[in-house]
Amino acid sequence: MKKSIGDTIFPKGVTFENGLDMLKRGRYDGIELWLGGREWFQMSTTDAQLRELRRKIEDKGLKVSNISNTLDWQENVSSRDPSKREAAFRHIRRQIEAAQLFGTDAILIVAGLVTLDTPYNEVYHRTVESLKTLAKDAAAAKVKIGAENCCSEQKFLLSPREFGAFLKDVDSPWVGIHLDVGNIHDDGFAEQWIEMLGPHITRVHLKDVLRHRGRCGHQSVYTNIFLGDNDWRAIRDAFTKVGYDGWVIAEMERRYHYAPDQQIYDTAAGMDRVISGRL
Amino acid sequence: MMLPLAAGLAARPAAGLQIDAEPNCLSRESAEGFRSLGVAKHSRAILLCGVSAMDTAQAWRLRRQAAAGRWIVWESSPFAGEGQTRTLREVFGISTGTPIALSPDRLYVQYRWPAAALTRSFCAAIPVTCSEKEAIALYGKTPVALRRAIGRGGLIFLGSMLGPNLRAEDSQARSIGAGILLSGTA
Repeated sequence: MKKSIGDTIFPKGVTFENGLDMLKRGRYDGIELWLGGREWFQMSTTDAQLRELRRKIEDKGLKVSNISNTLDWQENVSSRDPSKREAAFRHIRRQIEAAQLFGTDAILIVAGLVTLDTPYNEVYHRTVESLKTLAKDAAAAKVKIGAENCCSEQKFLLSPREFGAFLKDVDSPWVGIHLDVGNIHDDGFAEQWIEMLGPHITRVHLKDVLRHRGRCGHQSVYTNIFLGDNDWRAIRDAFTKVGYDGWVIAEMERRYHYAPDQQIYDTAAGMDRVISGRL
Repeated sequence: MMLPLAAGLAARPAAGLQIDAEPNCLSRESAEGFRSLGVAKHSRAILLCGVSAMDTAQAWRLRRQAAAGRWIVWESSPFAGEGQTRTLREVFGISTGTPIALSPDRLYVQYRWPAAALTRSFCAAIPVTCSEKEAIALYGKTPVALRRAIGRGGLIFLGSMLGPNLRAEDSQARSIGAGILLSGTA
């Protein structure tokens, strides 16, 4: 397995280059880039600027593990508003282009948002249809789309069986699941998701979770690796069981109040223990 | 109450997969799982699903069939009692121990044969004493399944139920299950 972490972890005010130095110090293998996250990677960022970012990453001996986006929460493929849906298509297609520019083969999206006024069945059909369309772009670019399981936040695809049926309906080898082992809190057990969806996993997010507590942001249920209620031995064994040996990417939601760079190093150490199975 | 296997094993044809299940849900679910593999017409195994007890006369008949070239797949129930232990020892020379309660720290049984793969252990695993070469699955470091030649065939003992995992669509378990049922057909 190779370890990576998102560029959104870089402490505020830190330059891209200095952030990369921190990853290097933490002995990461790669970086996850978030479209829409930090100033260096927005929809307005040009190809030439992205190539410059790639050069900086490679100069540090790192690779890009995958391209994610922060935009799906505002512009989703399941939106009723055609302009928002089109915007979602645009930024996902930009992710695919960026993946090619950075030499990686996976992107992360949040596909489908169920809300009070956009009911589940409507979201389901629209999301399947959208992904069937985007799968053609992905296939042409040889980049896999990983739909993340943000179960509780999306109110969508709440169980591994349901997620499996969804992927079957999309019916493309270019669309799978970007599995977040911390996002399964009120609704199941991460190791069972791994077992059931193993061959469809494109990338993995690692974080821990405090079950039945709070929500996002600073009230988050999410916490640092080993501080929550995830069964890390079972999770590691399940990855072995299904033969997943790809990128694992830390996604720390709640941040250290002091010494924010230390969270990068502490997370790296925890990931090393998960990867090596010394638990 | 656990009932023994239907006493119809002796009157079976000499070819094709034979599946025998006890009249309880666990044993039937296991049989359903093995059937779902779809390899019945290629298998020559005699499959005993979720065995909790068997009399020695019936076991001797099985042993003769093994010696004549069949493979007996003996899947133990996690709730098997002293009756099974005695029959396995007297008829097949196999020593089994007290069922190991599963630890939450260890969910899986590691198979070595017919494929190197992990499957979920089921309720409990029955340890078996055997040589390194005969052991086909371990729970931690303890052998819980073996493969032993008897004449022109043999016996495969599974101390952790596999059939329910097949029914639950565990893909690693399915590759193991198919390999086991096709034992001796190559």
